[in-house]
Amino acid sequence: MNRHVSPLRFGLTFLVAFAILMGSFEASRGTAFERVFVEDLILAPTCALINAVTPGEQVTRVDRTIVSPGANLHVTRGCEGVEMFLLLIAGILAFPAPRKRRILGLLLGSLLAYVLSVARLMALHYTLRYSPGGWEALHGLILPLGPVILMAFFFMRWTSHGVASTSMEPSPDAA
Amino acid sequence: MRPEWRWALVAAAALAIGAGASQRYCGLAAPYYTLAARWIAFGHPWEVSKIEVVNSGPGMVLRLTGMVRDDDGRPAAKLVSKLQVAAVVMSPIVYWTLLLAWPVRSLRERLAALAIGIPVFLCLEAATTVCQLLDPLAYASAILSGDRNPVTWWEHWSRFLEAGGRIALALIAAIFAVTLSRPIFSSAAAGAGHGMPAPCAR
Repeated sequence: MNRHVSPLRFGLTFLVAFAILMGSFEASRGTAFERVFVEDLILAPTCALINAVTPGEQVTRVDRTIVSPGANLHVTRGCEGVEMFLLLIAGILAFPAPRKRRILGLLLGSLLAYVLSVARLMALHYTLRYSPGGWEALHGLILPLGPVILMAFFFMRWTSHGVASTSMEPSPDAA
Repeated sequence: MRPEWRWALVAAAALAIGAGASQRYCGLAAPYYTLAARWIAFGHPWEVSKIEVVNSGPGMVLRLTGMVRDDDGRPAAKLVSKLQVAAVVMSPIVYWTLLLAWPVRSLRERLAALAIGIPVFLCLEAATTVCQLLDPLAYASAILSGDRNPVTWWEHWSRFLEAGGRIALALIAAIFAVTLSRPIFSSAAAGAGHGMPAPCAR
């Protein structure tokens, strides 16, 4: 298999796929799927992990808030880490690759996205609790962007190792 | 140095610069944001007084002060909208890092990409930060028009940006700028394999 994709075509496909995925997820807000995904699959394990690592925290989940005696972290839209899954799926859909490779990328990438989502929420909790001075930079830039950069590294590995005959080069009809 | 390590260093440096210089960047960009917001507000019953960086308790924010008129043109609501300065620098960080680190064949090609990148970047900033700051004005307009629980297109756009759209847009904008700069060098590169390598190509 020898497929090529121009960077612009990749970018546009990626953007459209991401917009559709994001719109679909937004449409699911308030449904059982969204509640299970955000509250049961992300927030609940985050609380359990915080309590396991630091039993003194005694965090509980109240709706979308991680509550502890010293800090209340309200997890709003955009803070759940869902975007990492959506960016991953959009990237894999936009890049030409064999189906098996795509599935492997989605599975491994989703696992990484999940770990990063939970880790990010844990980091936000500890920042709010113990270093509120660093909240602005961590919450506004580093913790949203850092995990996405790690996802990008995963994606780069996936494109360069797993799909050896596929490259981002100008297609014959590319400008 | 392995490409992965090089990219990791670039990313770490970009994050550090973004975290350290967000307030200064927003202060420098505020006049452009004000200009762009007034331009976008043209044709809407909105008036943008100013956009500035202010201390808002827990941290520094970019604050828009504006006014919305009702259907009869009378001033109806004075509004303030805010964005964290650290969040504002996300798209500039992604955009310029990609543009500066994108593999090119010569310094001239890099300079062309950067020159074309400036107007693309201004559009990106208007589409992201400025539109997000204007969202409350659109909300107020909808309320004044009788919609009790409006979710405007501006709100959908704002949600898109908050849910990773800023990063996705910065990525496509950088690719767009690089692609636009390529035809300038197409004749010089003819027959020289002018393909853009994948980010991790060796």
